[in-house]
Amino acid sequence: MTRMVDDAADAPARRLWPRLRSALWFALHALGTARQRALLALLGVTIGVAAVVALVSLGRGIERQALDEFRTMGTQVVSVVLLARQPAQAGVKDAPAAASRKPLDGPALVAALAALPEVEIVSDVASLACPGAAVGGEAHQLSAARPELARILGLRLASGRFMHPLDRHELWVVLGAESARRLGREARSVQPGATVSLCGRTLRVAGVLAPMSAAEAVSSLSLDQGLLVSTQAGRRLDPQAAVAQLALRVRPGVSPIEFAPRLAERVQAWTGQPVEVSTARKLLELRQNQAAAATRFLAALSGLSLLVGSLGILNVMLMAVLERRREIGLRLAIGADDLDIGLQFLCESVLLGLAGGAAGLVLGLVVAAAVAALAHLPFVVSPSGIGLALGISTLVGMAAGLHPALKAARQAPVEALQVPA
Amino acid sequence: MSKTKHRGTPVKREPGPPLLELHEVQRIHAMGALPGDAGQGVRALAGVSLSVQAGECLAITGPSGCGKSTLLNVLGLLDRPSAGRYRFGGQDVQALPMRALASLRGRCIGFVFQQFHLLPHLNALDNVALPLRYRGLGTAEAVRRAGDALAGVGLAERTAHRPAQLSGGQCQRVAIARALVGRPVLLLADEPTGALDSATGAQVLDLMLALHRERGMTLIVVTHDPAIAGRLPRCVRLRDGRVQSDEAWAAVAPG
Repeated sequence: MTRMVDDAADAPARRLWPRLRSALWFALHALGTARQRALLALLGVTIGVAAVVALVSLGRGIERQALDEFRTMGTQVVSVVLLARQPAQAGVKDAPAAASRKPLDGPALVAALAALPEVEIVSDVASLACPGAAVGGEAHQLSAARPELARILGLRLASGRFMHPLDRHELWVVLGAESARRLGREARSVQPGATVSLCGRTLRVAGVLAPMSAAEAVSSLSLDQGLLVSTQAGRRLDPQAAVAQLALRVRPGVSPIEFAPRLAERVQAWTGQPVEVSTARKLLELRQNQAAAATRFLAALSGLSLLVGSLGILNVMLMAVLERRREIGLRLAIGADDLDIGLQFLCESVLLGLAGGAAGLVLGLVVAAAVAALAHLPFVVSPSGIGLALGISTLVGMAAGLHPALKAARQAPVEALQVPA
Repeated sequence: MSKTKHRGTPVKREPGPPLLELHEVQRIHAMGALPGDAGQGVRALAGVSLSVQAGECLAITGPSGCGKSTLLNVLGLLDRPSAGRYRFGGQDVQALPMRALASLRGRCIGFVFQQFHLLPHLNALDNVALPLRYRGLGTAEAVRRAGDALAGVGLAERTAHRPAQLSGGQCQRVAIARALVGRPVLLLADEPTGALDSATGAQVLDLMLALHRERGMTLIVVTHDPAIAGRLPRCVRLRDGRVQSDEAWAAVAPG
């Protein structure tokens, strides 16, 4: 008999993995007794993790969309929008230029830009004001541009052809995808060669553009809902039309972002008009800035919810340690040591966190899918978002469970056993 | 203080060092209520010397507040003596760290409590398997042995029941199975019949005595009930934290 006792005392220290396995098993079974209080605490973690998941998913969606746009038109596109002359503003910087030189008009401006070493191709875009430009009952932006615009913006045609240098002043029109759809709804032919009445003239359809949201994005041209004619034809339709925008592609190797300020300065000097230069890269920033408000809100929401959630779990676990002192005492009596007890409560806390996190993951993906559908963004389920959700909930569970676990591990067996039922 | 070596237990006795050996063991519970009150405390054990051979069966009895629960806690390695020497299986336990005590408890001692202390969310089988899990046994082996232990206390049909679905007597039998599943050398029972009616209590005591005869582990029952103490071959009576009497009598007929 005494030999048996000696054997037992000399027993090797138990390994961590079997300990952890038992602790996990006990924690899982104790979770079955989780009450409403626990569910309420989990809500915080759920909302917090949901916000993080939605944040990551939407961020990825925006990134994906921007990348897709880059792929279609490249990053070398720069758009210069000429703003209305503002005497006060123009007076500050452009006074000498404006005084010494006459502002350049469309063809001269394009020639000047094309002469810049950084510029590969360029086109001006004029907005034509023309009373009869209503097609299909709705107003469409009628613009005049050069044939180069197709190459600059990477435009693709659904049918027919784009403008051609040989068109000169002939009244050919290229329809945007949406414009063509609306015209088609009126049971009129929009096939190339069909005729359209605009500004009291009859124009012939050259082609129809494929839907192009990306080009619009950078050029702020509503090409989908627009109608395009050649520059010369534009002058015939509206002799007063002025250049509203310049679209250009910089040469490979030139950084559009570095070139943009210089370009703005030049165009400002040549036209005497304030300008707004945007690049494809800037577009991404713009998109991210547009999403920044939502991002900040989600980040704040997740931070706050995770804090509330971890405090909730902390509270639940502290109550559990208090309520289950007899259980702790019993476990200590039948061979558990402080490490077993601490691990068990830590596991329970982490499992609580993970339960909240799993619910949050689902909720976050649902929210992200809904927002993506509303904002016409691609819905992206990223593994990193899922990993982040699980990581955060594990961390929250650990952080919230550490103090209760230590408290549980420090229970003296005798006192714990004596707690009245 | 009188101390008498017991003679004539129903189990065969091996010569050699005793399983449990207490020498002038004191346990003082610190009050620590007021600063400057240090050193003051409640003297639960005022110097207990006791020797128990392996395979013995004895009762520890006395009026409430005599220190019998404290003595049980010290014997069961749940608590350490404030002074004096306690040797368990020939080993000085004062020198052992808490983890070693926990390991020793898990391997060598089984506890039966008045309030059963079953975990309400586990069924009978998992409750009984509990000590084996803390020894690092795998689930399959732990559950198999727990099933055998439950069969040993006549509850083979109740393995899937939770404590709330069992009667008091059945609960205490589950607790006995849990205490014995790890084949301990010492079974400590603290008022094991205290929460049961007298008929059920007698059955539970019969079961413990039968298991003691069958397996030969040392059995110590703490009770305030003289009728229970009278059914065990040796009775240590405490008073005011000291051993008042230690009597042994020859084989008692099982009830």
